[in-house]
Amino acid sequence: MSRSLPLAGIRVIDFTWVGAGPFTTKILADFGAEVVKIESRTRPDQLRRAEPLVGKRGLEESGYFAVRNTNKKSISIDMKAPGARDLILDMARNADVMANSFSPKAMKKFGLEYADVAAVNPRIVFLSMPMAGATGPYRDYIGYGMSIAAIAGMFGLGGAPGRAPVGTGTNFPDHLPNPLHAAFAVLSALAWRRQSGKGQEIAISQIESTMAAFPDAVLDYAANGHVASPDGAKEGYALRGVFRCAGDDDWCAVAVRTGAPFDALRKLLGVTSDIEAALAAWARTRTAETAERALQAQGIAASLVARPADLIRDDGHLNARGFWQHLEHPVMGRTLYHGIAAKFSRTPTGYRSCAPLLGQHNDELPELAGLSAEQIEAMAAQGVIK
Amino acid sequence: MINAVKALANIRVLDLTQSLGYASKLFADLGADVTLVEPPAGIAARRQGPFLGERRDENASLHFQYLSAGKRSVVIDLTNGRDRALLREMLRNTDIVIDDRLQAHRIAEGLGYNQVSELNPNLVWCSVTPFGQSGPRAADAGDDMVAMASGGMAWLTGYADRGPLVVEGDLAIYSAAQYAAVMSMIAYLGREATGGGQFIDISMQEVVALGTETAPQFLTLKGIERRRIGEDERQAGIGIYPCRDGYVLLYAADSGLGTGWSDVVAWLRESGVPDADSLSAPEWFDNAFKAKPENKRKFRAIFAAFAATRGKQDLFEQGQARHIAIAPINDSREAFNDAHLNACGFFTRIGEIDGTELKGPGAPYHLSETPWAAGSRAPRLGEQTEAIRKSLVSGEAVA
Repeated sequence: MSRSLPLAGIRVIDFTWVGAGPFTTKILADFGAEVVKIESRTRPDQLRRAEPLVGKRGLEESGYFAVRNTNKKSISIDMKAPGARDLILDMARNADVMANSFSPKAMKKFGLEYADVAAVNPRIVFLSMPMAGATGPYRDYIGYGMSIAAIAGMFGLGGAPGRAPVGTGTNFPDHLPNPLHAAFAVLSALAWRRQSGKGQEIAISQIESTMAAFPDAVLDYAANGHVASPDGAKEGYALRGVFRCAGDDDWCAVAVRTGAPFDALRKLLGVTSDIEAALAAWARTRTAETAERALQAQGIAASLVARPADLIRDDGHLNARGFWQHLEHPVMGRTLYHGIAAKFSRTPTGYRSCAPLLGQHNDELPELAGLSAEQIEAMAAQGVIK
Repeated sequence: MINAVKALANIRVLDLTQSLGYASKLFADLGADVTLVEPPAGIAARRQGPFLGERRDENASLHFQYLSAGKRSVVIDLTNGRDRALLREMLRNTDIVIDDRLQAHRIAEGLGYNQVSELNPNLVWCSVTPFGQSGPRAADAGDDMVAMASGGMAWLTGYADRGPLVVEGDLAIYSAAQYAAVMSMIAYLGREATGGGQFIDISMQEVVALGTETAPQFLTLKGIERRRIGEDERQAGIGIYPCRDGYVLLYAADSGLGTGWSDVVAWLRESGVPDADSLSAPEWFDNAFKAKPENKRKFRAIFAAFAATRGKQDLFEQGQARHIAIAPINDSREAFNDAHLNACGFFTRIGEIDGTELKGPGAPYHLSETPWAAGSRAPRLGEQTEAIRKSLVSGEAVA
C-alpha cells in the first residue's frame, strides 16, 4: 500500500460540530483528506461532553465525540477575538474545502460567508449544512437528528397504531442521510473543480436532505393523497415481521417475499394456512440465532435482532469482516470504534489516528496558515489562539 | 436549468442493481450519464410501490420514477452469451458500476471484477450486498428489515414493553445506496492517487451499524446496554410529549448534549403554567437527576398541562423563537404541506407517468455553480436498448 489515499492532498477547514457535520468530514478524513477542526475552548462542541463518557464530563472523554472525529486535527481559536477572522482566511487560502453546520447567522457574524472566503480563494468548496437551510421561515431554527426526522415525517413512521410514535430511537438523519449527502456534494464539487478550476458554494438544508432519501411516503401523498402509517403493508412480501424467540428478549426479523421464499417457509413449517401464527409458534421454541439459521438455510431473508453485544461479539460476522476497530487515545485509553462500512481492493480502511484533543494541533498553525511562528505566537499572546 | 453546467457530466455509471437506484440517482441528478442495465422483466424497483392510483403495471411506480428520471434503460439478458458480451463492451467506456450481487455470481457470468478490470483498469466496481462479500453470513438473504435487524437498529426502535420495530421507508436501502455513491466517488476521485479503479465491497449490515449511534460504546465504556425506550423520555426535557393535535419532540438540556432547558422553564413560567418555577431549582440542571423516573414524570405533567391546549406547529414556532430545539412530529401530509419547505421550493417535479406530472422531494443539496436537477422522466423498459446496441456495433462511444 505504498500509494496515496484517495483524498490525499485535500485540506478541509472544519467548523462543523455535534452530529451530521463531523460525520461528513470524518468520511473525508478517513480517506486521506487533512481535516482541521476549528474548535472553541469557551464554547466547545457539545459532543465533547456527551455520553458515553469514560470520566466525569471532561472534554476528552466522550465515546460519542471519539467515534465521529477519527483522523482529524484540532485547532483551538477564540472566534470572538479580533484577528481570528484573518487567521481563518489565511488558513482558507491553503485549503480546498471549508465546512460548517451552524445556522446561517453564525458564519455571517464571523464574517466568514462564502463570498468572504471565495475572495481569498476562488477554488474553495464551501459547505454550509444548517438544519433548515439558508433561507425560509425556519432558517434560524435549531435541532438534532431526531428533530429533523420529526419534521421530515420519518419519526412518525416508527411506532405502533394507537401509541405515541417513537422514531428509530436514534438521531438517524445525523448518522446516514445527511452526512452522506453532504459528502457526495463536496466530492462532486471537487470533481467539477478538476475540470473547471473553480470552487463553489454548497448549501444544504438537513430537513430537505433527509426527505430526499426518505421519499416514498411523500410521493404517495403527493400523487394519491394517501397518508402513510407505521403499519403499512409492503408490495412483494407474503409476510414480514419481528418474531419473539425462546431466549430472554430474543427476537428474529423475518421478511418473506412472495414466490419461492414463501413456498419454502410453508414447507419448513409444514402448514398451508395461518402461516404467520405458525411461524410465531415455531420461533417461540427456538433461539433467534437458531431460527435465523434455519430460515436462511431455506433461502428466506431473516436475522436475529442484534443487540449491541451481538454486534461486537468476537466470533460475529462484523468482526469476521474486520468492521470494528480499536484505537489508543491519550485520555480514554484503548476503545472501540465503528469502522468503515466498505472494503476497497487497494485502499486501506484502518484508522490512522484517534479523535484529536482540543487544540492538539495548534503547533501546526504556521504551516496551516502560511504564517511565521512569530506571527502565530503574537496571535496566541492576543488570545486568538487558546 | 437549460444548458446549466453539470458537475459530473463526464462520468458514466452503469447501474446493475434491483433496488439501490438511489446511488445512481445522485450521479444522474448532477449530470452523469447513468444507464440502468435491466433483465427482460425489468428491475424490481419498477414493481415497488408507491404506485400511481390503482395501477400496478411496470410504468406505474412512483418509487421507480423518483429513482430513475433522467437515466437510460438497456435490457440485457445475462443468461445469454451475446448480451453478456455486449455488457462487457459497455464496461470499456464506464467509470463506475453499482452492483448488488456476490462476486461468485458475477464470475460465473464472466463479469467478475478481475475479469472486467482487464478491459478497463480505471473501472470502479461498487458492490452492495446484505452482508458484504466475505464472512460467515456473506451468502445470507437480506432486505431492508433484515439489514435493520442485523445491523442493530431494530433493537433500538420500539416500545419498552414490546418487541423491536423497523421504521417504514427502506431507510437501510436508501442509506446503503447513498453510501455506495459516496464510496464510488471517493474511488473515482482517487484513481490517480491510488493507481486506477478499485473493487468496493459494501455491507448493508455495516451501513446500518454506522447508524447505531453510540450503542456499542455505551456497552464497552460503561457496561450499559442501550435498548428501545418507546415513549419514555431519556431524561426530563428530551423526549416525545403530547400536545393538542399530536406530539412534539423536545430536546432540551443545559449540560451534555442539548441546550435550552432554562429557556423551556422560562417559557412555561411566562405562560403561567403551575409549578413551572420549581423547574428552576439547581438540581434540574443535573442530567442524572432529570433521568430519574419521578422527575421525568414531574416534568411530563407540567409540560402536558401547557401543551394540551396548544398545537404542534404553534409550539414549534413559539419554542424556536426562544431558541429551543422543539419540533412537530409530522406525517407525510404535514411534511408535504410544510410552510418552510414550500417557501424554499423544495418539492419539485420528479417525473411523469403517461402525462401525469409527479411531485416529490427535490434537491438534497444546492451547488451554486453546478445546480442539481431531476431528469424529466424515467425510461421505459429497454427504451435505449437499440440505440446502445447500434452505437456499440458501429464502434462509436455510447452517447
